[in-house]
Amino acid sequence: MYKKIRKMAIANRGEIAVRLISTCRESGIEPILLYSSADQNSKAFRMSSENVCIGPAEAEKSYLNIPAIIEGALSRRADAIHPGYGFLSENAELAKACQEKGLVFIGPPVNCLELFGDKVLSRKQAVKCGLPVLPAYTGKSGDSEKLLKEACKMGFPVMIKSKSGGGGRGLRVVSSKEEWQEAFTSSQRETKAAFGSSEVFIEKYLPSARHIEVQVFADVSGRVFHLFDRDCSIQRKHQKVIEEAPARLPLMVRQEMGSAAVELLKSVGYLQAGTVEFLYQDEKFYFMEVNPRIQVECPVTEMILGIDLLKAQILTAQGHAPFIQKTFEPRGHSIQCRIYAEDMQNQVPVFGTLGTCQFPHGVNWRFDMGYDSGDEVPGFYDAMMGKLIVYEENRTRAVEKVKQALGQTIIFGLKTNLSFLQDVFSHEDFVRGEVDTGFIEKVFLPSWKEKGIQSVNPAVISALRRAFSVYVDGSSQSTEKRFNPWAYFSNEGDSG
Amino acid sequence: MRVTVDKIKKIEVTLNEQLLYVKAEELDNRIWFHLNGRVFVLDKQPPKLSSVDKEVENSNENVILSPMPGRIIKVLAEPGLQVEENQTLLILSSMKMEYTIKSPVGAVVETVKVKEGEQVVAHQELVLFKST
Repeated sequence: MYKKIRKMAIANRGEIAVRLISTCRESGIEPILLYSSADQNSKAFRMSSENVCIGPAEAEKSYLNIPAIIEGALSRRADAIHPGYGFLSENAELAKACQEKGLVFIGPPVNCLELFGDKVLSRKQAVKCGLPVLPAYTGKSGDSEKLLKEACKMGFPVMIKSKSGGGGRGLRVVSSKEEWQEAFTSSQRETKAAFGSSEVFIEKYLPSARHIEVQVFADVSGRVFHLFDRDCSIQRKHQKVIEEAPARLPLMVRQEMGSAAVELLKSVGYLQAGTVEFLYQDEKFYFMEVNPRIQVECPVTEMILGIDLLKAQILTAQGHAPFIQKTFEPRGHSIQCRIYAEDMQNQVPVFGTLGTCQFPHGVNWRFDMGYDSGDEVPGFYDAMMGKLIVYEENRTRAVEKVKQALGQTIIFGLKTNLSFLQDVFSHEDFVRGEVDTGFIEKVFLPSWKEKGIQSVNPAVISALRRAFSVYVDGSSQSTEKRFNPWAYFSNEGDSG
Repeated sequence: MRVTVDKIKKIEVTLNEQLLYVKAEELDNRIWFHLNGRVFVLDKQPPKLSSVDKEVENSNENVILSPMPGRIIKVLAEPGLQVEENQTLLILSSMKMEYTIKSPVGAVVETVKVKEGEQVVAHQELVLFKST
């Protein structure tokens, strides 16, 4: 029933493609990178020995193009396709197409993708398994008036959610009747653009809850492993920015949440890695959704359990046992932060060519990056460049370590969120661990001011200008250089 | 074959009798540097307040540029419309997320240079205001 995977096609880009290439190699599998023309010379492209162009830069024509992906994989005799996260990772159609062509789709079975891809059906399944949920109205999805009436009944704030869900798309928090119409229209439009269907539903919104999720893994024998939890409360625009494992939870809650997640996935005959997301407030948790795929934040779980979730997926896809450990005990604390090419002042992603980047190594910290010095960050995709993951014996030390590592990180040429991350990690609420999903937008950002050039001593600025003006006008500066202590520089890069 | 050469320079600066090491690189007439654990960017030439510069500055206030590539999905501004600070002018969709483009100032719209459904590139002119 299971076949050995010799070659695996990667239908993704950026850091996850890079990670998949190394995991493949480690597992004795030849990676085949399926790439769009915008990623012609990406880090993943350079790493992979076999590359197949599956279309132009626009994701719809490449990374979201099922026929092109299947054809690309078949053209190089791939045995399997790994979809990574985002793009088609939760797409039942891709899984079906793989099945038809005899390719192994590295992910859950089609029926699970279909079920969890529909946020209303997943909710029903969760209720059936006895999981607590928030009040919601899931009927008449296109009827604005009816939904508004239900929202009033429920009491504001409510959240408009896309039935097809995922990645924060279509999510709108509505705090009063007056805000309804604009939020509803815009949510419908965004949902339509992202998922092709404009169906939405409403759910009671908890403004100061934490986002806690449980990592689960089901093997071929039907065993479902509870791989503990992550706290992903540090979010901006409903996108996670900082993730930690394990979450700080009372033991009882952890056990209840964990077994609820395991029960839910068992009830549908799940296979492979999956995440069950919850909202948590006042020692009560509420089911949100299931992500039937690997996630951006999987590394923090890998760190505290000492496992490789992608390798586990590849082993499972071949019918093998995913782990050697039979039971899991989390140790220490892990923190991940996502590094974005972003102009934080204007709150927009930025694109373009990178200058020099330095991602230094350290004990128990790693950078999973999709880009190197000189690479182009194309404007067609998410602006996440990669992530930094640290591990330490406890949370306090992990926070110290992540600050240290960020302080040594250099990204030139494009603005990034590095400063933002550094300041979040220094914020006393974060340090104390007293943060919920509203922290960034309600507490942090209103009082945050990025340390700009104004905060640099003018003497440093003029020294820099002088140092670089030597190249512009060598003749006039060359004499000055001799006398000017600022103008000294060497061409040696850093050893890091 | 692709060879990446680190173009970073290490510059020593003495400040209050303390020696600082600043890692820096010049890219497109700007100096990017790393100091005390932070990355900063600096225009290579000190800003001059000549009349030409002033003109450029002023004209910038009258034009709204696209912050990123994307597609215009909603146009709310129209010629002659008096808008207030923070009023929504356009909605841009980029990577399937919506961004509202708001007016940074109170002004009167002169021209809207894009239509709904139009693809735009980063820094493309979207809306012009009447100069005051």
